[in-house]
Amino acid sequence: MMAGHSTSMGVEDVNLYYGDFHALKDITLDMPANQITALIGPSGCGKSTLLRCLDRMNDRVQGCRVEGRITLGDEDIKDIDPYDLRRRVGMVFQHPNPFPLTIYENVVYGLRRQGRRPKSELDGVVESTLRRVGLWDEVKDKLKASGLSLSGGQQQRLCIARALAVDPEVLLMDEPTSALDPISTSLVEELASELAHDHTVVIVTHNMQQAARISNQTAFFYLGELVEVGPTAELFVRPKKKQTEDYLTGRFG
Amino acid sequence: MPQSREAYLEQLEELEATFREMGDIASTNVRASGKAVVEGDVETAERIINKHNRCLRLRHTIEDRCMSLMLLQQPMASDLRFVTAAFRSVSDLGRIGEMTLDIAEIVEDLPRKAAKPVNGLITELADGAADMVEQALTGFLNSDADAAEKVFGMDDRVDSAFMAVRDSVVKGIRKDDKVASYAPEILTVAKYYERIGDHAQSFADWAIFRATGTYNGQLLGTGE
Repeated sequence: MMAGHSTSMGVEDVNLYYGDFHALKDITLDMPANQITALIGPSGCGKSTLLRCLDRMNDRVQGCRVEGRITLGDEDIKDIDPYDLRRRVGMVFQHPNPFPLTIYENVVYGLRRQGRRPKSELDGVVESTLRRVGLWDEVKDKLKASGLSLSGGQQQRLCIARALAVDPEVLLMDEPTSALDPISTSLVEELASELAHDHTVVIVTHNMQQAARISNQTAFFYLGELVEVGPTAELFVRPKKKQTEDYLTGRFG
Repeated sequence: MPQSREAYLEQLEELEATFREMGDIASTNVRASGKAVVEGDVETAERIINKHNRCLRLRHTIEDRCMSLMLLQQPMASDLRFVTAAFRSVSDLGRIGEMTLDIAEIVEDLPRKAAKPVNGLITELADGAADMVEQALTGFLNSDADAAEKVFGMDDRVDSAFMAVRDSVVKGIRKDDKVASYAPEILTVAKYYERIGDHAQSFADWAIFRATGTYNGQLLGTGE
């Protein structure tokens, strides 16, 4: 049912200001289709801010100004309706945030907002999406239970299912496993790798081993600048910039 | 065990210090073993044999420290290259130590002047091999790829001295002179030095990896 996608994202000369604060400085970065791009760097370096630019979540932040060009495939995201953009570019957050609805309703939430659909179609999406995130067998007998009744790891997979149900092209993940135990973490990591076959995945993570395990390319940010970007294995074995080296080896500051 | 950043840096320094000690013993013993062969110096041979136990312990300590660092600290970038290179090249140092031990044991079994006809060549071999080990160690400890690169050019000296010993021993056997009786031992000793040179080159490869992330001309860690 869900089409395979191969839509890259890109940012070109992006500058972002929160009032007077220059939070992103001349960022240019390609996030290739069907790959996982990891954004790493110390807190406050701008990596989450950049992630939020990709589906225009900063638009409503007061005093926030974004300059430069952000593209989804060949389109400038400014030319895409924000609701449509957020359907095409899904987001998974650090803390699982299922809606206070049933598991079933959580999954079909986005679809219902797109208009009426026959129940059989919704049923099909619920099953196929929950299967994709490896949750079907665990919840198939309690689809009417609250999404909040699930464990943290299950909730996070439910949130990924909710994002996937509307068939996005890109999936943004903001520290998606930092609140999860190692087993749930590895399930989410495997899922991210799996999803990258037909989605473009961008993940913000503080866990460098996670970036090393699952991403194809890694971008290191510091003080609002993109210091270095490269194939993940190369960046972790042989970073080219001293700042990256110092960050990776824990000799910062 | 505390796992703070300071403890981590301390563990890296300890690994470095242990590695330096093992490397110093290895190169010193190689040079000393040559002298022991040439002079039939049993006391020196004895000292080399005694030091070997220290080397074995150092080897285990290095391997253990590398494993602990990888397990508990998951080093990255230059730290990852250092720990990986140390973990691999300690095998080269270990083999160098074992061959030096064998040479020392041969000295104990040989009559005092058994190697006299090839004394000059044995000195050349032992010094050449010891120079290579020292040079690789310098490259490794200083993360200096240029210094490590020099090791490869030094191997010709060792190889040609080995060929010369072999020719000389073969001639001796033909003429059935004194050297013929101890031909197997002398050839073994010479071959050991030649192989110590090879291990020094492998060690140099890891020193270059530590400095650059490239092993034998290939960027490691890319899965290719």
